[in-house]
Formats: sequence, structure tokens, C-alpha cells
Amino acid sequence: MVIAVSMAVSLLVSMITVATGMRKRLADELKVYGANAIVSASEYIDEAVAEFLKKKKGVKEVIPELYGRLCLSGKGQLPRNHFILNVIGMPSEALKELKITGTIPSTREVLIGRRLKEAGGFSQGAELNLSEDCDSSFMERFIISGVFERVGPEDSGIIMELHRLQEILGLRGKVSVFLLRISPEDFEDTIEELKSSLPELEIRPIRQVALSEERLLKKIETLMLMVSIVVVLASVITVAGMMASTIFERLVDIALMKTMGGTSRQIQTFFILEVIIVGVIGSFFGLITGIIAAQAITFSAFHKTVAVPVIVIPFAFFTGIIISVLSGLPALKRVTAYRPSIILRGEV
Amino acid sequence: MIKVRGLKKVYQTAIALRGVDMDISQNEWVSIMGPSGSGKSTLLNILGGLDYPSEGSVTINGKEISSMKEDELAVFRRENIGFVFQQSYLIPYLTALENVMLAQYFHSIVDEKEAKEALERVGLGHRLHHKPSELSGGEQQRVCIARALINSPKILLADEPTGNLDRENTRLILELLRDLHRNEGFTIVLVTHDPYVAGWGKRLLTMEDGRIIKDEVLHP
Amino acid sequence: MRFFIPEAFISAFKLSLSVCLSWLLVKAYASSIKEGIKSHLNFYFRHQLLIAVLFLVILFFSGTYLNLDAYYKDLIRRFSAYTFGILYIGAVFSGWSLRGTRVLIFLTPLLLLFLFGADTLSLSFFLKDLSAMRQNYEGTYIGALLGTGAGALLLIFSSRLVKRLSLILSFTGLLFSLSIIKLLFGGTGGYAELSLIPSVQRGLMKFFHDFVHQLFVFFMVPDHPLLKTTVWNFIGLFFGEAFTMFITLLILVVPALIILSRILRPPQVIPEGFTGARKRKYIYDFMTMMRLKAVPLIVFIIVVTTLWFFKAESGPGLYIPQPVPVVEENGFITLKLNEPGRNIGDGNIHKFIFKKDGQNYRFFVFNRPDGRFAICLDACEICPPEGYGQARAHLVCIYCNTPIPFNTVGEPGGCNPIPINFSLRDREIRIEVQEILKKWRLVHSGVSRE
Repeated sequence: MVIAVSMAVSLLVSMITVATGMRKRLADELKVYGANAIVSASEYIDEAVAEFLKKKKGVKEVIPELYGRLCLSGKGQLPRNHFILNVIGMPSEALKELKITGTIPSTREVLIGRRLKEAGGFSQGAELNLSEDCDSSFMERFIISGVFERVGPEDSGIIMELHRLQEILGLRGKVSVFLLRISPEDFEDTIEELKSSLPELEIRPIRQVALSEERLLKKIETLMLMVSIVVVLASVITVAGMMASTIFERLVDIALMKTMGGTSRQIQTFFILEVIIVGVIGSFFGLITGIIAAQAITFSAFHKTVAVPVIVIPFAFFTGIIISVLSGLPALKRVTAYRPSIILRGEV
Repeated sequence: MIKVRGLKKVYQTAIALRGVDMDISQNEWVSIMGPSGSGKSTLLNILGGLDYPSEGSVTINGKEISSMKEDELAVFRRENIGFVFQQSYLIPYLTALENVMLAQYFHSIVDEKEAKEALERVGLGHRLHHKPSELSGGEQQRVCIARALINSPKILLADEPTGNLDRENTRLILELLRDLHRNEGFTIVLVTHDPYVAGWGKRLLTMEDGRIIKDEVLHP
Repeated sequence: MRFFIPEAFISAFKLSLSVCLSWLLVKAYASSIKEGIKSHLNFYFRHQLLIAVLFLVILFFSGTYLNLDAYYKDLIRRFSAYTFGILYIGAVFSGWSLRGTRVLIFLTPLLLLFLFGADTLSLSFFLKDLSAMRQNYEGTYIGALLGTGAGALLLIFSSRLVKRLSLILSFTGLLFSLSIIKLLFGGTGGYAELSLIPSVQRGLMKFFHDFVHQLFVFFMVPDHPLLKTTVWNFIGLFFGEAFTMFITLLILVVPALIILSRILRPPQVIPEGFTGARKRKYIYDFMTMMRLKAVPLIVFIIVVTTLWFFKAESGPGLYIPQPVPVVEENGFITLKLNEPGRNIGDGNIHKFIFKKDGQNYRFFVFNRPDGRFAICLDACEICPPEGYGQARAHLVCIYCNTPIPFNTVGEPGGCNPIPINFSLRDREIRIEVQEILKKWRLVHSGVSRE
């Protein structure tokens, strides 16, 4: 009986672990936080448009970015005293997703691209004097908090926090583009809707590859979910059968308890505790085997191990106990309804 | 104390009781004798609320138990009736002491000291922690008696309690029952097919074919 | 024209729910008392309920028409919170000796008035303010009516519940249950206004602060600046927020735990001659009854501890900066956006304090996540001006713990800080002093806390 519960739990555990692990793994491999569309304009877009976009069905995430140029003065091994840099302003959620050697920049810090770092001989912690234009006497001091790894022309520029950049450039409330993550099912419809409701803006899908992979992932997840449900049902039936036979073996004990004056509820409580213990032990073993299985699957597919989401542990115990109790309860209820004399006479 | 009126029990294949009337007063020791199939065990089961009659009523101390629901019966049973059967139905994975405490558990709360004393009274003070498999037939029955009496019931119902025992043990058990009956005061209804055993009681009811055919007082 | 305002519904629902639940509990308790009085009680009860409800309704309407001074309004709201304390203390004292009182039953209308009178008045004041702010009288009162009705529906389905409830209520249990109701549903704002735990904690902190100060005065410790700072820093460690939060929990929970332990003991006195099975049954029945009676206390302990955990997580951790003094120039206050070491547009609140004619005025500058600047008084129209703190996603009114989402700061109304007009040009913010003085008149009690 313990084995049946273990099996069910282990399957669930491995499914969940693999599913969550796979999603993360896929995201890592694609190196993108899932953006599949971009909204741009000839000049700047009002930041408040984000609210409008967020409300659209299918739009899961909206990340604004502001592009601009700043003048870097003085310091470093750069050829000239003044140097114009490309700057990207990103909100903090997007900054967290970047691959950074160093720390996420606060409001007084920036990230620099790898090429800029090498060209200027800058290191983490060094100071940069930046201003809106090279003629301005008003400069702001920033500290380099790290280097970002984003392959492309941005390499020779810097990244800072969005609102900060807006301030410096005097472009409060403005952004250059919005990166959107739209759910795969609604993708085409959402793009069409956005195009018609925002005719002055340009809306383009990006990274078609990510889109199809997302769809595939969702299909796999649905399949896994269905399999899990079937497994749980099967295990409930199996365990119920086993429970029933075990309880029937103990009929005499139950009749005896009735003779001693035990009410149905008392006898049920007595046995339910046993059932729960079985559930706990089963869950424990199921958890271990499930984790091992998940690692095996992920390793064979991606050649890496997968992190176990912590929530799986209480979930495993919860499921195990539920399965045991649900299986045991019907049999128990039926049995306690028998009259003691029938059992003792041996007629059952 | 116990009033039985017009008790009938019908099964699909046979009729076990064809109409039984009797009265048993407090502190009596009543033996019920008869050949197998005469319905004596059925009568005992119904008296103890372990089975329902097809017709008729059983009233114990004014309460009609034939119409009580299962759980109600259970509560009544644990406070008023003790059972001893031919087979000693002890829980095999519990010790003698624990078996007695189990009866306490279903009644109210567990009291180990009281359980120990009960087992000592039946002469098993040295066998407290043995499992049933480690006890002889006679000793097992003594545990059953201790367990049946632990909640101070008003009635003790015994169905062939010595049926599986040899002569010597039968005598010992009956002596124990007599001593307890004298000291603690409860009504015994004992069912048997053995005249020797039946003779230990004060009153003898003879049953045949689902009816009581004789009701006589026995000389001490 | 909207005919339904959620805040009105929620406040009225809370009040109605608490009144009806309390009534249910008192009824349940009364039904567990001996039969003899019962027939009288039924008659008396129905009339009592009518009287009490009538009084509450009268209170409600008088609140709408009364124009009380803000000071008195605040007093009434404080009283509402104090009833929790009074109930709790009463529960603890009654728990020391497990005897019930029948006087309670006959005082039921007074009890309802005592517990809920202040709440009812506060609700009517709140609804009046809400209608004025939203320019929507119908919506407010319809919402309130629906809320009241929803709460009262409970009473209709109560008869079976009353029987069950009577098993778990002793007088002590009743008082604890009423305390829980007060704790969970007390307060009439849209959010839990006079939340217990921060109030107790702040009271404690103030108490410790004053106590130690007095101690120093008593021992005539010289007021040497150096000594003062280091010693206060040291004291601050002990009587800071975390410590007092913990003491708050202890104060609330320990008495209940002690009473619980006394309830759950096996009976001390067993009637003469009970032996063996009879004694065991007596003990069992006794313990079962006691366990039932312990339920309200257990619920109380769980509720208080849970609330405490939520408070402990979000309570300390409010960012409350010290106000920076500013001076007036030609009737204006000018603030540069970017000064070395300070950027008031960085998304954190920056508080400033300005003195004129012996009065202190506090205001703050806040750059909202949507890019707009909001400049407001560090006070609102409703609460005593203890000011605002900044949490992760909203500003919080320190007095009443109402969260104000960032993007609504700068809009007037409710517990929002009072906005003041300003001009932003050339990276400079200019505020007219007259504007501050004018707007400050709207502040709740008009007296700054400094």
C-alpha cells in the first residue's frame, strides 16, 4: 500500500520538477525574457501607453526601454576627452533578467558593455561623468556596477535604470519602445488588435522562433498534466482496492471495537490515523524517487540537473495523504456500518 | 431489569427465534442452555445490541435497545454491557494490558493503573505485557473477562466462554466468574450447551427451536 | 451616476457583520444558561434587539447630521478601538475565575451600544465624508444599505448555529469571541483603520521612551549631548521596533495562553464515591466540555498571532525620512531637483519642514512611478497628521495604516495626502507659501506633531 502511494507521489513530483525545470531551462537557452513583439514609433512614446497595452488580452508582459545618447567626459583610456555613448534605459525588472558580471545598477550606477569596458579600460567601481550633451557644464557622476553581456551593437554603450535616464535626458514619462510578451495562443489576434488601436505606432513580432518553442512547451506541459491526472486517478483506485482488502482483514478487530462500545466515528478515527501514516511514508519515498527520476529525465534531455522547486515538498506530502485518506475512507465507512454480530458470526 | 417481549428473528434460510418472552432481574445469574440451532446465541446477540430483532422488543433498565441506532447502541453498550465470547477476540498485536486499556479508550479515558488492578483481580498480574499468542487459552479468556468488566457494566453476556477450554480451565474460569459476580454485583447471562457449566447459574432457561421451553430455578 | 460605492458597502458590511455576529454569540451564550429563565429571555430578547437596533439607527442618522469638531470625531474613533482593549481585559479577568454572569444578558442593549455605538457614529461620519468627496450621495448610501443587509442575512440562518455555538461559549469565551470580532471587523474606513497591533506597539514604544527618559531625569543624569546620543542609541537597540513588536505579541497572547492552560487541566475535584469506570467517564465528559469551551480562546490566539505575523512583515520596513528644513524666499519655497547627494526625483519620498509664525508645516515631494511629480502635505484630511511612510508599492498613512498606491498620490480625497500646487521649471520646483498655509487648514486637527 505504501508502494502504491509512493508511486503516485513520485510520478507527480517528477512531473512538476521537470515541467518547471524545463521552462526555466528553455528560457535560459534562448537568453531572452520571452519578448516576442516590439512596439516602436518615429520619436518617443508616452510611458502611460504601457497601461493601455497591459490591459490588452494576451499581453502578458510589457517592458519599456528608452534609447538615447549621453556624453562621457574625461577619464579613462578613451581617445578623446568627450565621447558620445549609446544608452539604454530599462526598468528594474528587465535589469534583473540581464546577464551581468557585477551587480544590478541602482539610481547612481550604470552597466557598461563589454566592448566599452575594454576600449576604455574601465573596471567595476570606476566613476563615469555623464551629461546630456557635451557642451553642458552640468555632469552627473555614475559608478560602474558591472558589465552586461548582451551581444550586439549595445556592447559599446551603457545601460542604466529607466527613470534615471528619463530624468537626465529631460524625457520624463517617455520611452522609445515597448517589448511585449504575448501568449502564443492569442498572438496573431493581439497583434492585429494593437495595430488597429494604435495606428500611429509600429508593432512588429520578433523572434518567431521563441514563439513556436513556447507553443511546444505549452503542449508538453498540458500533456504532462493529463498524464498526472490519470496517474493520480489510477493510484487512488489501486490504493482504494488495497485499503479495502486490508480493512476487510481487520473486520474482526472492528467488530470487537464495536462490542466494546466504540462508535463509528471513534473506530474511523482510529484507522484514519494509520492511513495517514501510510500516506506520509508513501509521500516520503515518492518524493525521493520522484526527484531522482526528474534529474534523470532532465539530464538525458539537457545534460544538466534541474533545481527542485521547494514547493514540491509540502505538495508531495499533501497529495500522498489525500490519496491515502480518499482511498481508505469509503471502505472504512462501509465497514463500520456492519452489525458486529454478522462479522463475529463469520458471515461476511 | 431486562425485559424481552415477543422477540422474533427471521433469516432468509431459517427462523432463529419464534417469539421469546423473559424477564431477568438485577444481579441474577441466568444460564441459557439448548442444542445448537436453538437460537440461544442469537438471543444473546440481540440482548447485547449486536443484532436487531425482526420483531419484538428488548428493554434494559427502561431503555428500549431494539429501536436504537448503531451509534446510540454503541454508547449504551460501553456503559452497560460486557461481552465474553467462545473465541477470545483479543487484538493480536496488543499486549494483555493494552487490550484492557483499549476497552477503557472507547469508553472514556485510559487509566493504566486501573487496568493493571483489573488484570490482577483475574490472576494475571504477572502476564501484563504478554501478547495473546503468548498466553494459554484459559489466560486469554481471563483477559477477556477483565476487559469485559473494566467499565463496570451492569450486565455480562457470555457466549460459551469455556467452550474451547479443558475441564480444569473451565472450572477455574467459572470460579473466577462466581467470585467476581459475588463481589462486584452484575447480572450474568451465560449461554452454553454444557449442563455442567449451566449448573453454575441460579436460574436455567432451556431453549429449543427458537423458543424457551423451560424456566427453572436451580438449587445452590 | 454610479449607484454603488464599494467602500461604503465594505464599511457597512463590516459593521453589520460585527453587530450580527456579536448578537448571535450573546444569544448562543444565553441559550446555554438554565431553562428557567429562558421563557422570560425570549420575550425580553426580541425587544432588546429592537431597542438596540433602534438606538444604533438613531446614532447613525444623528452622525450624518451632526457637525462635530474633528477632535471629537477622533475621540469617538479611538473609543471604538479601546473597546477591544476593554473586552480583552474583561475576558482575561473573567478567565481567572471560570464563573459566568447573568447580568450580561440583561445588559445586552447596553453592550451593543457600548461596542458598536462608536463604530456606528464613525461609519456615518465616514459615509458623509465619502459622499462629499465623491460627489455621490446615492451611491454611498445605497452601498451602505446593501452592506448592512448582507451582514444581517447571517442572522436569518442562525438558529441551528446558535445551538452548536452555545456548547463552546462560557462567559470568558464569549468575551474572547467578541474581542476577535472587534479585532477583525473594527474600524469603519475602507481598510482596517485603527489596527490593534501597531497601536499597541506604538503605545509600548512611547511608554518605554518616556519611562526611560523619566528615569534619567529622576537620577539627574546630566544632559550631556554625547552621553545622550550614545545612551539613546543603546536604548534604541532594545526598545526599537522589533523588540516592541515582540512584546506586543506577548502581551496579547500570554494571558490567553495562561487561561487556556488552566481550562485544559483535568478536574481538580471529583465527586465523592466516583471510582473506576464512573470516575473515568466523569473525567472524560468534563475534559470534553472544557475543550469545547477552550475553542474561542484558541481561535483568539491564532487570529492575533497571524495578524501579528502579517504586521511584523510589513510593519517595520516603512521608509520614513527625516524632514529637511527649508526656508521661504519672497513667498516661495524653491527646491532644486538635483543637488549633490540628493535627487528628489528618485522615486523615494523626500520630506521637508517649514516653519512660519511658530507653526510647523510638513510636506513631501514624491516622483511617482509614472513619471509625474506629486507634492503634498505630509498629512491628510481624515487622520491626525502623523505623516506618511513608504512601503514597497504604496505610501502608508502612519496613523491609520491605510495604503495609498503610488500612482494615486497627488490626487485629493480620503486618506490621500493633501496635494499642493507647484510649478516645475528648469529643474526647479517652486511652491507658493500661501498655498501651503491654505491647504494646511484642511488637515485633520490642524496641529502638527513636531
